[in-house]
Amino acid sequence: MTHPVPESLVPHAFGEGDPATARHVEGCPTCRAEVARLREAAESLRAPVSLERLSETDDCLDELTVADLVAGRLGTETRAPVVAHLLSCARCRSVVQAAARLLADPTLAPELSGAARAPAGRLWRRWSLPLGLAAAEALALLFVSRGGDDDSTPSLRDTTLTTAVAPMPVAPRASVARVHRFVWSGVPRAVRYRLRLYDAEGAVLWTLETSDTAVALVGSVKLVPRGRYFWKVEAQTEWRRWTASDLVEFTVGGPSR
Amino acid sequence: MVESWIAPLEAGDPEASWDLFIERYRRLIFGAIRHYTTEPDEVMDVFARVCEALRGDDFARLRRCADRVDPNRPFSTWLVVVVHNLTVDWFRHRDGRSRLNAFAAALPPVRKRIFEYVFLEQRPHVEAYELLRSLGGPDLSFGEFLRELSETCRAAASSRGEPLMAGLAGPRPEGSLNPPAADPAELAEQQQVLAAALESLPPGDRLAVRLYVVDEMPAEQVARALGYPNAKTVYNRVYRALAVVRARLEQAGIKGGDL
Repeated sequence: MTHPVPESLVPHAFGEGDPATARHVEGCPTCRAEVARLREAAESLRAPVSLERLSETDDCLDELTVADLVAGRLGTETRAPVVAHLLSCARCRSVVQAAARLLADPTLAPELSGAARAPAGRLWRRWSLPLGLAAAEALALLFVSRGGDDDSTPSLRDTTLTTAVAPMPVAPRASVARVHRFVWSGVPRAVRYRLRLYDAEGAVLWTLETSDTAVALVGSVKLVPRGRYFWKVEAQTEWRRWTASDLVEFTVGGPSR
Repeated sequence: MVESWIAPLEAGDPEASWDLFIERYRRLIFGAIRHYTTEPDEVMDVFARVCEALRGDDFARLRRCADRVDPNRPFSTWLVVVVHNLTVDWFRHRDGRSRLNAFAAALPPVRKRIFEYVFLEQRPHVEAYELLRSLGGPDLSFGEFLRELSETCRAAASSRGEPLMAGLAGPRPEGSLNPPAADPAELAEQQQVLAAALESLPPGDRLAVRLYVVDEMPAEQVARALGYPNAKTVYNRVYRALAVVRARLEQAGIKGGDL
């Protein structure tokens, strides 16, 4: 009887084998014994799982390193310390395993390859609203914490934000009979303003940039009676620096639907 | 691939950048989240958490990645790693000690505490075992504890899906169950023999064995991560490593089933 090369029993022992090897092993006591020995040795390697750390530490791999590893983009030198860490960190190995599994998921393949392109959407934009507000709240909290003496407080990327004045939406607000124009307060040294109008689902209905502090609503934007809308305005006060107003809600022609 | 969202981000217009980014990647984000849960409310909550984390601290996470993106480093690979980490963190936070979810609440008392220690607090199994005993838990042997742990893992995986549970608690301890080591000290001692056996192998081969045998990653993915030419190389290295382990254990008078 011709036996398969011993290494080819490895995938069979761990569930990846081909049917031909499986048929041979079934009828061959020698290869069956070898598979049993492989599995027994494997069990001894699985036991140490109980001793390993599962929580994240400062030494754990960052997301880009994990991504580069599973995509096979690490060179020999850069891979060495990564391998050393993974040998002792069950947490990072689980991230590597998860990333590899996700990248092999056929349902994600079009997105991962870039072949898929999302159609112009609306619903996703709703996340701009609450998340934008949450970010603003987080920023406000950070400003408060900077008032203390604790040097450990993380610093902002650019401290000029702390002194910037945001524009304030003046009209429309709350319930209005109709909307002809949007008006907001001016910001010192603002070079331009950007207005965004959203519907109740967060879809952006209209975006416009201007150097003025009022704009007329264009005819192409139709506001539905009793519809609920939001708007905000951002001011550019210097190169690459914008400050945003709060989001303001209004309804047209009576209580919202 | 050109990442169109990077230019506006670098030009100081993060909202415009965000619009481009989310339009390009929202399907990938949703798809990756659905790998862990298909419950609509959970999917939307996790999606919101992912968006919040990416936008947080003045888009710091996206900025860090944008600094290192190049055509040979597809951004989507990084993004799925981020989504995985945030999803697992979200579930761990949501299911925290004060709010064990319906699954954990229905577990028998011992398994509920194991779930808390291992899945939520990420304690190593041995530490969870000692904690269980020291805080008035049942007087289990380590082997009995591992059996309870394995059953907890099995129940969690069938309830919430294997990928999520693997993210929360790592690989299952099934291999150590037949029969298990008598106590953690014995396990640690046997581990020294194993470690010495593996020490003779190159680190890459040791990791190949861990990823393929313990973490059950497909051989092709192990090969890609470790720079091996193909899956056959992984099989060769694993075979060699297991032979070394077997020989060393036999020398030490330890049978595979003792571990």
